[in-house]
Amino acid sequence: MEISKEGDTFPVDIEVAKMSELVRGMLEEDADEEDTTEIPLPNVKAQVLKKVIEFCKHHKSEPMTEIEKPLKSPVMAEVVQKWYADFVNVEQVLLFELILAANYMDIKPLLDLTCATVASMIKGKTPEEIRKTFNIANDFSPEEEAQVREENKWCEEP
Amino acid sequence: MAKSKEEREQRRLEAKERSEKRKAVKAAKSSTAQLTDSSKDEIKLDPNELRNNIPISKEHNSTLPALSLPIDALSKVMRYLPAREWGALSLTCTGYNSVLGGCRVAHLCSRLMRREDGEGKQSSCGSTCLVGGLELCSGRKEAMAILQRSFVAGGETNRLVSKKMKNSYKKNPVGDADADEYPGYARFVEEATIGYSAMQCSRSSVFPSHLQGRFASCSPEHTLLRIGGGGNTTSGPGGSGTATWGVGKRGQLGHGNREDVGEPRLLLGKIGWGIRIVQVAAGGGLVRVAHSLLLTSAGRVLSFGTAQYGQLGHGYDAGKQLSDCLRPRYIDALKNERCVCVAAGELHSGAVTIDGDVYTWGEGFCGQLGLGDRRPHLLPEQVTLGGLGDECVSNISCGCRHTLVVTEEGEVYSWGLGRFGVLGRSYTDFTYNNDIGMVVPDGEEGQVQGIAARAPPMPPAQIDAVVAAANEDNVAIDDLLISLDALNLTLDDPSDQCYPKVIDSLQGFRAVGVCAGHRHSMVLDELGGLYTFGSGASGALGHGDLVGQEFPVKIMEFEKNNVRIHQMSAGVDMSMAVSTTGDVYAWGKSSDGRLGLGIGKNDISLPRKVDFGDANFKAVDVECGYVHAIIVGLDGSVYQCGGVGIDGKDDGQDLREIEDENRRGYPALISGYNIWHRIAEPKEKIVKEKWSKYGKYELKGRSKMMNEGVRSIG
Repeated sequence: MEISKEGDTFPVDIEVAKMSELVRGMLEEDADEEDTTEIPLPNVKAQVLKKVIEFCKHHKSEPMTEIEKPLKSPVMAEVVQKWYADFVNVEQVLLFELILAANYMDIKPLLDLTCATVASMIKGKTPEEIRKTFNIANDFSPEEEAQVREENKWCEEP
Repeated sequence: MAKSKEEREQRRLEAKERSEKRKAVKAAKSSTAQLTDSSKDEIKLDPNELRNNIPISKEHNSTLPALSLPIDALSKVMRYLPAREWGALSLTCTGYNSVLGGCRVAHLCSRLMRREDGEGKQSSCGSTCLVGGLELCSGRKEAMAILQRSFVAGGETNRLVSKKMKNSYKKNPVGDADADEYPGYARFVEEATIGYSAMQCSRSSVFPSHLQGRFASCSPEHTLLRIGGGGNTTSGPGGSGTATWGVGKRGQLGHGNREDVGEPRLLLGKIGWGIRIVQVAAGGGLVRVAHSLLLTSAGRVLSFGTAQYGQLGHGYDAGKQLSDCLRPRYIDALKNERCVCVAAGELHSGAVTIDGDVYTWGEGFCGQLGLGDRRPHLLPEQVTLGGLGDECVSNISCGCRHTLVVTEEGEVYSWGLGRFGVLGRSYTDFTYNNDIGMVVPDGEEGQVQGIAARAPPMPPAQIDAVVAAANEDNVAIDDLLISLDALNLTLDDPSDQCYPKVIDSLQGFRAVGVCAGHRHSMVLDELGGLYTFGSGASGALGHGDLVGQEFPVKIMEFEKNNVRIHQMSAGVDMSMAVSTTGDVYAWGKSSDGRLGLGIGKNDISLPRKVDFGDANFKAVDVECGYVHAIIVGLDGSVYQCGGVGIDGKDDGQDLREIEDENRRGYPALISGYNIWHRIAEPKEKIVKEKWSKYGKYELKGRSKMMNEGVRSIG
């Protein structure tokens, strides 16, 4: 049983829940309490937690293949199984929330998957394209920009 | 007018905001710097610092959030990205620029370590195609040491550093100032461990690893080595220029003359600055021919050196001659192809394109072009016979008279002269099989020697005479063919030495790399096992005896000691290999210190570890020639074993001055040299003749003019 920020409860198998190191630690702490335990996760939104549990459940049935470092392709479907590629095909807001949740709950495969997704969004892009993708403003002063650009000119080519 | 005033005001406000923000970052950084002083392990940044520092753009009118992640998640993201993206991201805004430096140790670890985060589970991180990856570093502390070492390795290299770096360098020469320099080093490391990620076509998945000549390439006479370069002044990553040295009689050094050069000299003409080199290949044999190929980051091929056999791929020049190129020149015939790998053999060359097609050109009298005949081909031609047209080839290696390629499926194809068993497979004889020998090192018995061995494969004595005359007079090959046609003979040959055929005894193993030497060959499988075949003279096969092998045989010495190989090189009767832990092993002919195993003359038939006199030295690449070998370190420094005698001097280790008498015959550091360091572009000397109104004599004065006049008459 996991409880989200909003107070919604999600019933989960112990085995699935234990994929999260955070939950595992909590479970071990109060191991004497039997049966259903409620685990409060005040930092995770219900919508995100639902996604996380969906991931953990699927991971139990079909473990994710190791993602190569560095990525061989900017297309997620080519580096990981189809289900996982579809899983992370979500809005950026949700994706970042997922990273934060995976980081907080300490779920390594989910963190790998989501970080690789962000990496795939950066891969092969010019700085200007990255700014557009992630909505980043260019806050370099002209002199600074000239200097940084001079050092990293080769990175600007796609 | 009023509006512009408002605008200006607004801009001023924005600038103010920016500077305040920067101050805040600086303050945060200095506080963390104090932290690192006490725990010199790694910069610990406030996890939330980055989240507050990424400015959200108003330009794009969208509701998307900025990419704002806690630092450990960002560090994880960076591990999935090659060095280029590192630079690109740091160019987007000040927040990333300042924070990325903190991720660099984790990033380096992910490239060099077998395991990640100290977990017991093996993962494929930092890997080449090898299963299990590399084990060059054991933890963050060591990675930090490697990073610091890379800045000072190779001695005084006159390396360019940014202004920011210079200032902090004065205070603390091995501090955290290297953050800005990291993308350059990361590129070097990635090329060493994965393949070249800096290819301009990096949008697709081009990562050929296990290439010969990633950083260096040796022919029996000359050496090519990457160094310096990048863009203008301080820009770009290092290591994209090329330095050459050795014998230069055939113009193979590319300096525009035929002089020998004793120390590494940079190629001019924008190479490295504007034209970035990602792979080098030195070719040539013991028969006084040599040529060089360079692969640029745009996938084009430059060639220079001997053109006599068409090995440069330029075809005839205007006068229907095959004249040597003294400076690098683009191969026009390949301009529509994007090459990802080049190789140079003795008299022929080969290239692999991004689509996995193989092109060969040059002399083909032993079938080494794989085009189904024994004709020379002066222009690159695609190899499609033997089913190779349908295969996706990942890399190629050209030996003396044979060629090996490995496909993406892990199969090895071979073609060319099968003598000594260098093809690793059975083959049928040539129809005319007289005396196709190869030149072997002097002083060996029972082998064909000298130029005579190069007589073309025709039986009647009169043809021999024609060909010999043609060779002596340097007559163009076309004329030779005309005279052969007149005698009603063709160079077509049904032998399967003339077209690609798979080495079927390697079935069941997934090969990832090949290396064709003078008269032996090597194949590397994905588990790091090394197979050798060919002539066993001098023990170059490494099986503990001098017996030749017709089919691939695994070197059991490595298997026994649990050594996995990452890079290998086959030269003329000598072999070297680098293990996944960065150790160098050498075997074969050892005289004159060419193997770096001392000055002795013994043949070494089992792999032996090379001693560098530095416990922390780790190698990433090795290349063998005939009397010398080049070893590239993880820190970018370069060692040489043996040496090529220039200007008629004897070959051998004594060519490099070694202070310590006990180190004679062991690898010697090439001082003032570091592959990845960026250096200033050398200025080409342009001789400008001054002309005044009355001609050039006006400047010289009357007496000089008179003298000159007298001399010219005399």
